Amino acid sequence: MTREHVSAWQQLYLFISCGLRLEFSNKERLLSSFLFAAVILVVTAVCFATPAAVSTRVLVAEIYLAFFLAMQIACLRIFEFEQRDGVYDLLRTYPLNGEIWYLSKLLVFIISSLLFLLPLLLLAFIFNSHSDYEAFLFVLGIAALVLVGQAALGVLLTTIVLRARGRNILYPLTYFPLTMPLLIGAAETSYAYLEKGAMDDSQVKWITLLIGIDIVYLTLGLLLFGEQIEN
Amino acid sequence: MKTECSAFRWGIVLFALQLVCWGWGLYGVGTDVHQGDVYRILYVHVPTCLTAFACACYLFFCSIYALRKKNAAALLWGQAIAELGLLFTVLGLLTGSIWGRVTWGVWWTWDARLLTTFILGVLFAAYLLLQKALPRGENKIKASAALGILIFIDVPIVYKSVTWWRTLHQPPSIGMGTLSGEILALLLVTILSSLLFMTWLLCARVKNLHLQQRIAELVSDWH
Repeated sequence: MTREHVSAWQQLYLFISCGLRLEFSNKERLLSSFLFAAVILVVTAVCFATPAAVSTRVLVAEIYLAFFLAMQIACLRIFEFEQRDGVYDLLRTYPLNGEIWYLSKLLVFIISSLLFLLPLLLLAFIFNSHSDYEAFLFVLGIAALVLVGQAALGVLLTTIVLRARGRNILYPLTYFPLTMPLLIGAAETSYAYLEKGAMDDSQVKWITLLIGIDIVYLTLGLLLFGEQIEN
Repeated sequence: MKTECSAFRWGIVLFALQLVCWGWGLYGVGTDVHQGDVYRILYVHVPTCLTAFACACYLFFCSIYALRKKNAAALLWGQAIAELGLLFTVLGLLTGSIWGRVTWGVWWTWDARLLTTFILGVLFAAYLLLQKALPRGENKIKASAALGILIFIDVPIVYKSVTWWRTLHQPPSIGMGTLSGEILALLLVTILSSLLFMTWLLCARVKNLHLQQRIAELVSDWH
């Protein structure tokens, strides 16, 4: 089979299957982000042995703080495997579809991040003695919306700063401001739901904003990623 | 030489216009019934903030151009725009902070408008750092352009922040009928003059960057 005969679907399948295999071949990658987030949860749970009135605020704050920092670490490692042995540069010389590469990176990243997001949320609810099943699902849904936006942005930003000197500083400097609207929206919505136990109009507006930002980041990622990897 | 002098004169005229607008705002218009004289900082604060937004818009279009044409000159424009964007954002935050100290009693609060404007400043700084951190070439053009486009996303968020969030900052005043005709007219002239002055600064800075680049090339050729 010549390189030109690999269809977009085949490329997507290959990228996703190889990406997932690589992700799961190195447990340290998955575990380190999770353990980092878990430490934040434990420390905040111990430090803020809070009365019920403020425990919801603490829960929301620690969930998104842990989530944001763990995602930042995970995002910085997105191209770790490809950068070894010059695979990344080699792939750039192939007639690959930029959108497919971006989508597959995004999907692999979302799947692997969900693996630590779920236990992380469970731990946060357990540590703060919240046993509301519906609230858990609601927060999970909101966190998933944040995950999509952060992942879409994370993959693009990692590619942008990949060749920059001091990228370990540049990455958080660009990632933090651009994810703030997502985090603020998610924190406000989750807090309001956990307090009231039901959705109202203001939460619908927040969720619309989260979806809007996700769409903008996804679209920009799809449009700009190809340019960044072009040889 | 004649062109240089003419450009310099234009700069003086635009800066003088800016000073006249500020002076008029300080001494020429009446005092606000609710806020007293402190409201006069509006003539510096609103134009500087809107000029910072304009810089983000310029950067957006410059980045699209850079991506399409892969033009290295667009990088110089991007750098000059980001520098001015950062300058005007910092000025906006400082003047807002002075106004906040008198009106709210605090220099700084984690209000949505303040936070999103601060984020805009951080993004301009990040853009400048990214340009410095990347080696010359097409990659630098593409990476800077991508970040330039992303920065623009913050502008509608800053603008809408006062309506989306419950904030201390007042909602938009222009076009809402809350300002008197006299205040509004002067404010619009000041905004226009600020935009023109920024555009002049931008052209002067780009020329300066071109010269710097040319000198660096000559020095490297010499060695």
